[in-house]
Amino acid sequence: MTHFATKDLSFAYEKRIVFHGLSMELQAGEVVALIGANGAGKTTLLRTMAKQLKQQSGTVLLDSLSIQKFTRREIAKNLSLMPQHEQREASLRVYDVVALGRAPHVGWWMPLGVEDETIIRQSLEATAMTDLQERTIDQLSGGEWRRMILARSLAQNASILLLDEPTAGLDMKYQFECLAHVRRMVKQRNLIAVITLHDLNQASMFADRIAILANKELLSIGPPQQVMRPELIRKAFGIEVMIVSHPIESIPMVVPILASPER
Amino acid sequence: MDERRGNTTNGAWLIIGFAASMVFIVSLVSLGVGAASIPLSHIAAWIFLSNEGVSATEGTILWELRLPRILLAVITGVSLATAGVGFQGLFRNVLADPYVIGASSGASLGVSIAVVTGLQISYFGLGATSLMAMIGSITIVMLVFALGAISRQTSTITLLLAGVAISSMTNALVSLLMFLNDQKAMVILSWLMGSLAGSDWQSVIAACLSSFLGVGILWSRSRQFDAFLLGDVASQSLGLDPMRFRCWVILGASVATASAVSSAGIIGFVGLIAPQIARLMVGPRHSLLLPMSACAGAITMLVADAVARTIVAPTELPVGIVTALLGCPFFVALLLNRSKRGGVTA
Repeated sequence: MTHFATKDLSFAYEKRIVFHGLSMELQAGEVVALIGANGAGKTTLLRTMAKQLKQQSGTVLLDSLSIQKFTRREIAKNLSLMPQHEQREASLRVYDVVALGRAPHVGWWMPLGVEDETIIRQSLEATAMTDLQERTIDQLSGGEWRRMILARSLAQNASILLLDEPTAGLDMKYQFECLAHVRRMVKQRNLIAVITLHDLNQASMFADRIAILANKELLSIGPPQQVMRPELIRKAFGIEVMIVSHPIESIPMVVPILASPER
Repeated sequence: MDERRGNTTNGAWLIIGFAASMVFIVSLVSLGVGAASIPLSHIAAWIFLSNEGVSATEGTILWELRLPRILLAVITGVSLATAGVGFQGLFRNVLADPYVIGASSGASLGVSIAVVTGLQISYFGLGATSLMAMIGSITIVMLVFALGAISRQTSTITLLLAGVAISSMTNALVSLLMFLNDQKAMVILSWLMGSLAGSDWQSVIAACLSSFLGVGILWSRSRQFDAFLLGDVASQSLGLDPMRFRCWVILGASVATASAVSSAGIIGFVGLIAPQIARLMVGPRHSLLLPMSACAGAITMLVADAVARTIVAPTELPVGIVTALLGCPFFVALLLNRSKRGGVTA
């Protein structure tokens, strides 16, 4: 079972501190939503957790070992970071991009084996991308593209998924589909997913725990019922909200209170 | 589903196989073409060592002049096309060519210095101009790379800008040398226009070795190229170190380019066009794109050289002029076609 944690993690660009003293432990089989205002450092945190950026102090622990001890390839076998933006102009085929997920396992030189082909096929099936595998990636819609990246992460066989705003630019249906997909994968395969989100209600609906990043630190982390509180939201986003219960699912929903008296 | 996928890949390999046999056929045909034309039957007899009906002069022409020249055309074409794919991948831009970060201007400077100083060195069968072309080319590329690396990130834009700046300075130095030594300017100029005349076996072997090194470095990274195309963050997430990858690509592509310029001078457009043709035929996957580009580059060079040798025979045109003259309209047509289909893409 994979164990993933950050301990007293701090990061700074030159002298500008982005976050400091950040500790959290993640358990296999859970989805954690990372929320925070624009520029709060969510992307930086994910990239630091993936050893793409070097922290100022503290450690990221993968199976109780500092991530610094792992090579990039070893990390890629365990962890997949899905970036917010990716070059999409390349007219590579969907299948080939998903197949790149096998690179950490087979290396850059060896041809793919039968087992790899099977894993790729399963990853495409799991994300409903089988029918689109022959398309080139510049022909995909936003939702299809996100699913393809998810398929690649699955082909990578990573037990930790770090997803940076996977729902950005998607319509409501695809946002839900995408998050439901991730959640299903996490539960089925006992993975860990950290997802940055802007929609607090989606965080509430799809995450087991929510982490709020504000004022350069981890303001709170816990189940939605515990974290979705007006005073925490105010601290993180500077807006007034009410918390109501979802009429069917009994999960906390955030309702903004309109400040302007004109209405 | 998987069958269909297999078919497209097999189809691409079929195209590459066809292109490779075309390289062979065009080579055979151009063995016969030139100031003295030799019938194909004689060439066939000569190749199969039966020498039936092949005169001694023909034998000498084929062995001493034509064959090394044709092999050099193939090596140059393969090197330039592969370097072109390398730089296009590095900059994630299909408009990059092997000379984009100063390989050609460095080679020109090296040759100008060799010609002006009347340098008399030779190493491994390479004369002073070839050696200085190679040294100049690699020195300037490394200088550009070092400048780009000062910004630590070696962002591609810094690299491009450094390439533009250093190239214009180097070109100015070449002009200055030509201006101050006008009696030698013609020698430099004729080298700058690119030519395969005077190819001999030693230059073939030297070019073959350096080209093999450069091309090998790039071919062994074809899957990394695919990952790199998706962006730095994505490729890091797949276990690639983008910085190290960039260094290797620059090394491989500049060695391949230097190999071409040192044996044939500055030949434009091949390194730009061959990858485009290949991309249209087999798509952007580098495991297919690199071999296909190599074939396209070789064929382009063979045809251009045959034209250069025959169009105003017995005088020869510099092959660089032919590639640019033929290449430019082709490239414009390609651009127009692409913009019709919705912009230039990688």
